[in-house]
Amino acid sequence: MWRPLFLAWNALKYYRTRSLLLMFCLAITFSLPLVSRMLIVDFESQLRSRADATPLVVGARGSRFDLALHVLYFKEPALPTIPYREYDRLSRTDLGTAFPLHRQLTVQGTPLVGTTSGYFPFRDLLIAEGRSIGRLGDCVVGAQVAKDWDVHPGDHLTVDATNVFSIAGIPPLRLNVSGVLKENQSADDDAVFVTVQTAWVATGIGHGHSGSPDTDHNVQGKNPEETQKTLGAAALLPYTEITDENIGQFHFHGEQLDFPITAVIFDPLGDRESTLLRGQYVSDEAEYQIVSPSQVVDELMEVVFQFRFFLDLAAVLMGITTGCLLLLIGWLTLQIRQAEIKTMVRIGSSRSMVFQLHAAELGLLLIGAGVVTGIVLLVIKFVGASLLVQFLV
Amino acid sequence: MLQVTNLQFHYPESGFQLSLPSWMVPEGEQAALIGPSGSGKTTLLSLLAGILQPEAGEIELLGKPLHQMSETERRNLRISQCGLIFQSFELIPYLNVVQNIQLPYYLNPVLERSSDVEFRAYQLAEQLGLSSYLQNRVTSLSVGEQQRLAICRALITQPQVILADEPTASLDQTNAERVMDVLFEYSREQKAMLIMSTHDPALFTLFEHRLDFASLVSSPV
Repeated sequence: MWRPLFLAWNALKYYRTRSLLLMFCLAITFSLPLVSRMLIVDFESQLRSRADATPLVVGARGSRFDLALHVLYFKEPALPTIPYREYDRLSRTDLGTAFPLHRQLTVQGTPLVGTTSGYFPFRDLLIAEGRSIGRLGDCVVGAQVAKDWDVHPGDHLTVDATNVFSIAGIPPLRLNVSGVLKENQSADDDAVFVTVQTAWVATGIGHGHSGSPDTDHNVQGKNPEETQKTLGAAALLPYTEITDENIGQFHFHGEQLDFPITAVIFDPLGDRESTLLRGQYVSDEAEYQIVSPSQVVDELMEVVFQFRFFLDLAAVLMGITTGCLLLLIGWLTLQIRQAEIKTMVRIGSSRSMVFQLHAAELGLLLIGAGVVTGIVLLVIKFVGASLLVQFLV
Repeated sequence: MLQVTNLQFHYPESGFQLSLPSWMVPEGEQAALIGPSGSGKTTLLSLLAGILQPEAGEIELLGKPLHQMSETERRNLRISQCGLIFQSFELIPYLNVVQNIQLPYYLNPVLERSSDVEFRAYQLAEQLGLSSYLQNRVTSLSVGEQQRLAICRALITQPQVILADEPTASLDQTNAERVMDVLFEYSREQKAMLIMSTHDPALFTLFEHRLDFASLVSSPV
């Protein structure tokens, strides 16, 4: 067997441009259906695992897809809001646990998510460095964000301005990084978390006052998750950073229960509680909708599977085209190498040896294409599905 | 010994016909096939090598009846006992010089590639002035070098018969003389039969046996 392999290897090396082209053609033909299949399986698995870990979501009526993707991947920041009152109501039921979500702002383009510290254990997120988000103005950054920006507890991040051209616009809030999350291989790695109250301050609902250091009236800033007091004051002066010195001066105007959030995640105690809660939103007159992200993902995957059908079809057509091209190239090669084959036969080679030589050439090309395909699949395995989730969702 | 009796062969496409009533070359002797281009010298060499099969008649080479042997048997006899030198060299472009010399060992498992094959290849290359080009591609060699390489390839199996088809046709006089010296030297030292086609009258006198094709070939029908 070494004889045809030796000759084939030398022939492939000699005709290296042709050999490499053929090898990559074969690799692309093999890779396309395998990569699309692998991507979709990984994509589905990633979507599903996050969706399954998010039992129910309450939000404004509208697109179920937008609401689910908003909660799962912090997409669609322009989602209509619901009042904090809905979260308050849900958290007072004995059907399960509720987590508010405020997702309207960004930090250097990265989603700024207002929630409660209870969100972290709910998502199995652990603090790698520092502490959680108990204090107004604090933020906890996802693992990827921390890595990309090289931020640690004690550093500062500034919320992106919402209206840079308005003189009366809200000045950007400078956040104090209080903690960094451990890597979670989810959208949480690419987000910055603050309390809902900090998010409100960043949107301009809450603000500080110069010369009004009445700390008794500013308890809200010290314990932002519980207080519902609102304070009014004169001589408004906006602050861009909440420090130990000025934290007492930050306060909110109006009824906190009316302040906006974009969604509520609800973790019911069981199926019965889930059904009971869903029943509350069945009516056409219900102000808000409740969605099960798992069901939304099921619907989304149906669309993706249709997409896969087209990819598979394209791969089959490409395979046929490549097959025809290979036949043509093979035939042309035999024509070009007719003299060489004739010489071999005249010297004393059998026809089967000539066949073995060409079969060995094809075999080596297939092995090369297989190796390239393997490398492509390996790369896709590590980065592909995450990229696809980021790209598509 | 080579013994040809009542040999008949013709190409149906061209109508070319070759008839050889009787011809004999004793073992270890040299014979020239003389005649103009297209007279059938190459055809007879192909018949003697067992590449072509005669329509009628007998060819006995080294005591073996070629006309009765299967294609595989003829192929095995050819690669192990015959050294073929073609007019157009017919070298393999993707093998280097030393690999081209050893080509027969890559083509048929009848030949076992022992450790002395490579040593013999180096010796032959040195003998024919190719030792500086062992790792070179054949395309980088001159015409004379390519022909000498083709001779090395023919001699690597230490054949008992050398069948050479106008090996000096495309060579200058110096190279032609060098090639002839090597072939005759090998034939005499190894007591190998040398059958060579040529239309160069200057070479006729070197051979003990001569077969003039002018008297053998009938015109196309």
